[in-house]
Amino acid sequence: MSDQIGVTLERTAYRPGEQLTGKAGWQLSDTPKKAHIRLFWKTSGKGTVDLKILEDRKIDAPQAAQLLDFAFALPDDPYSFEGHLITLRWGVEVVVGKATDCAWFELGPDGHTCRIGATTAR
Amino acid sequence: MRQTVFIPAHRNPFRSERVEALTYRETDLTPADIIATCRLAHHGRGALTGPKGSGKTTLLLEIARALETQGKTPLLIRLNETNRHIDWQALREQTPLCSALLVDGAEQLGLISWWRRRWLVRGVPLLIITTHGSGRLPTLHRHRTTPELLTALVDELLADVPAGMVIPSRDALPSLFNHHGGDIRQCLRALYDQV
Amino acid sequence: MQFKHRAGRQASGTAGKVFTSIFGLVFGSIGLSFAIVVLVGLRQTVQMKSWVVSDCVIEAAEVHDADEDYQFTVRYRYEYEGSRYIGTRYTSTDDYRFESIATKQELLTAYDPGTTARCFVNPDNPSQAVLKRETSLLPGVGSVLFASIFVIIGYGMIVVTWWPRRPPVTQATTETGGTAGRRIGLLFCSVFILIGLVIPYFAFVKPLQRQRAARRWIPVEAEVLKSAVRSHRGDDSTTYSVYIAYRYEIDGIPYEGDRYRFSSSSSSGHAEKAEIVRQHPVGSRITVYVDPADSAESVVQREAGASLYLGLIPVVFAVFGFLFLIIMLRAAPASTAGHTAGGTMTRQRNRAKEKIPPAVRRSGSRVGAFFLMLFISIFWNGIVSVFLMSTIKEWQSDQRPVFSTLFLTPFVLAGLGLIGAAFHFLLKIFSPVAELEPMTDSLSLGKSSVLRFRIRGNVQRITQLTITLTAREEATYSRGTNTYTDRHVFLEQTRLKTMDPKQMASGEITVNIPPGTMHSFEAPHNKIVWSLKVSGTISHWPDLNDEFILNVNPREVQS
Repeated sequence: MSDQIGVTLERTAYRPGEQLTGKAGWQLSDTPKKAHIRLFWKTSGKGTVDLKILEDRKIDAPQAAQLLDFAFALPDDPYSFEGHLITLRWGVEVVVGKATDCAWFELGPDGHTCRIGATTAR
Repeated sequence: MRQTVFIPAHRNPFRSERVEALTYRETDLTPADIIATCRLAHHGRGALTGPKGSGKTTLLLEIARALETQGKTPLLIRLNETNRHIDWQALREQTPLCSALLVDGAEQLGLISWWRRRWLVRGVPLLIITTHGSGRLPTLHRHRTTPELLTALVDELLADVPAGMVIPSRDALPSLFNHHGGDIRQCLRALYDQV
Repeated sequence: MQFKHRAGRQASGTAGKVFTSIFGLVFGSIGLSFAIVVLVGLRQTVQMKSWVVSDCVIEAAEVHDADEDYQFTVRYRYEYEGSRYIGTRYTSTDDYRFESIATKQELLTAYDPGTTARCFVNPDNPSQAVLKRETSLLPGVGSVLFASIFVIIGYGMIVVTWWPRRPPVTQATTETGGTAGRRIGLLFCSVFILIGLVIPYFAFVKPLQRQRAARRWIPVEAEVLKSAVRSHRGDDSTTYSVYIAYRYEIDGIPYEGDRYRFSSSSSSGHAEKAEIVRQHPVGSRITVYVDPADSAESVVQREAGASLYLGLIPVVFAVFGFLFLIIMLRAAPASTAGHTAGGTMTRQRNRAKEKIPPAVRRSGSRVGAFFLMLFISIFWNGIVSVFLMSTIKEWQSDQRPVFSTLFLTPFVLAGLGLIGAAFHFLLKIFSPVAELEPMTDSLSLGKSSVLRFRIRGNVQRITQLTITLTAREEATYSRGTNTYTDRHVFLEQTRLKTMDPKQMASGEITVNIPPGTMHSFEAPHNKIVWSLKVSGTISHWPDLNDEFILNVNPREVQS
């Protein structure tokens, strides 16, 4: 049986300061030594990637198969945005041993990513 | 001004993380070969030389990965125009713990600094550096770039782009290669804006 | 619109370093050799302080007319601890030479054969004696200090060039750099001012004063004793001056003088000086002007001549020095432009708590840019001028140095370009300056804010003023050994465009930050930068281009 891991969020769009909730689960052949759930943002695009982990929650005594709920209080900024050179995306990552999964979500005052590069590209 | 379909940065096939994920391609040369040559022929000291954007850093990173898979603990130091300094004292304390030291962009150190300080890391069994010119350590591999290499890399980056995306013409790649003097990295950066 | 530029330090390769080092080495070594020569002299002066005063009898004293100057030879007899000695030295140097005929008279009067004079005897070696010893250490010490400035700058350049550079870790480091730059600037200004005041004082003010006083001097007939063109060898060329020595009598007392003009400047051009000398052969009678208050003071030409005004040229240095001093003292300290990676991240988290000014001028010192360009320009043109002068001389002497002229042309053109660039930056210093003052504590998305602007300086010269709100993405890519920054403007709004000087001088602009866009953001490699650009077109002058970085906060949440 191959290892399975997954993370899901209740919603994919949030407003600043809201509570983010979701579920993380895994089924592994061996009992993992470490398990983490992380809230982060990451840039992508023409520049070197910037990444910031805002919260790194360690799961005590992780089991080989586990399903758990989590909640993070979201900060006010930075907003999710998509530009010509930079995209900033928010995500929640679950890391159990060598297995990982990630769920992306949008953070913004209107609950969606703002597109700033949509004017003239060249 | 050309009005184009807006491609957000994280969908651009030439975005930095994809370019950095490209592997060094020279069929007859593997990272393991380089490590072995360095150990056997050059007493564990060697340099990867070549012009800017010719893949030295990429190969060095692959060497780091290859060393890790061999169970070694390589220490990688990356120097560039904004970070030209090595904390030699801290390095001296760390070197007994690592089995290989990899220095990217050694030309940033300046010749005097290099010759003055390299003895500090004499205890490291393997030292591989990347540098533009030769002379600091025996050359393990001299990097060269060709328009064909650029085309192959672009093909790889564009292999999985969604249909409908405006992609640069392959025919224009040789002139782009010439325009940037064979600097593959600059070519790929220019292509970012052509999507 | 897409802007690209290469960020980070401009590549200062090994060639540049070697070049700087050679320059530093030459510069420092000149200072060092000068200091050593002076120190050796100082050592002798200190040693001579312990020499014993003794009486001596002058046996012979003569002044010989050498081609270019006068040579004093003397012979005297002295006793020390019962032994007799003969001395031939006037000062510590073997061969004492001087240029002025006044000195000749002084020496011959003081050391008339048969008279008793005072000499100084070396107690360790009584056969060594001099008639005159240096007593003051001050000039020597001053010269050593002056030379050490060259040594420090020259060798300092080498050290700074090769010293491994640490990345700025904290903002404090950056500011220290700024202060150091200011200090160097102040030093430069002081040296400029000093040079620009001292040289014209001796080369212009003093001769002019004398010239004015000499209007009352009385004409007296004199006989030419010596008439020659004296040459003065410089580093790269030889200059010439007229030397005429003469004798005249006042109330039966003979006097000798050798002042042709009050300004003692020498210049290139041999022919016209030779002509003057030819007109005043030895033995001819000329009219000289004598000070009625002091008959020993005389001059051939009371009028200073146009060359006197050459002495005013160094005033340019003083003017520049003063200007920069004023500008530097007036200029605000470097603005808070740079944040470190760590600082940036903290700032992101504590945006609400921290007090960040809503608008900050983008740093970039006009004075600094000018100084840099001036230094490069002086350095470049200084070297080129040496070769240029010799080529010009070759042309003047009917040679045809075509190849060296062709070879030199691009270098001269580059030098002229550098002078032009320095001049451009100089003009830019005096361009009007924009000031911006936000009327609110903070700027936010979806909020309209009022900002007050003011143009300092002569606003009448601006033909059109434009104030533009822009927002851009800035992505920095570091890979390998290079760092590149790309910019992409995603919002551009013209907030003011006017040709009316009254509207330009000061006013208020309203900035509406659209709600559905991105706030200011700063990560180590990726940024969203909001700014207000103030640009003014000035005819025949560098344009006004000031940028203010705005700190646009996320939308204010109604609670």
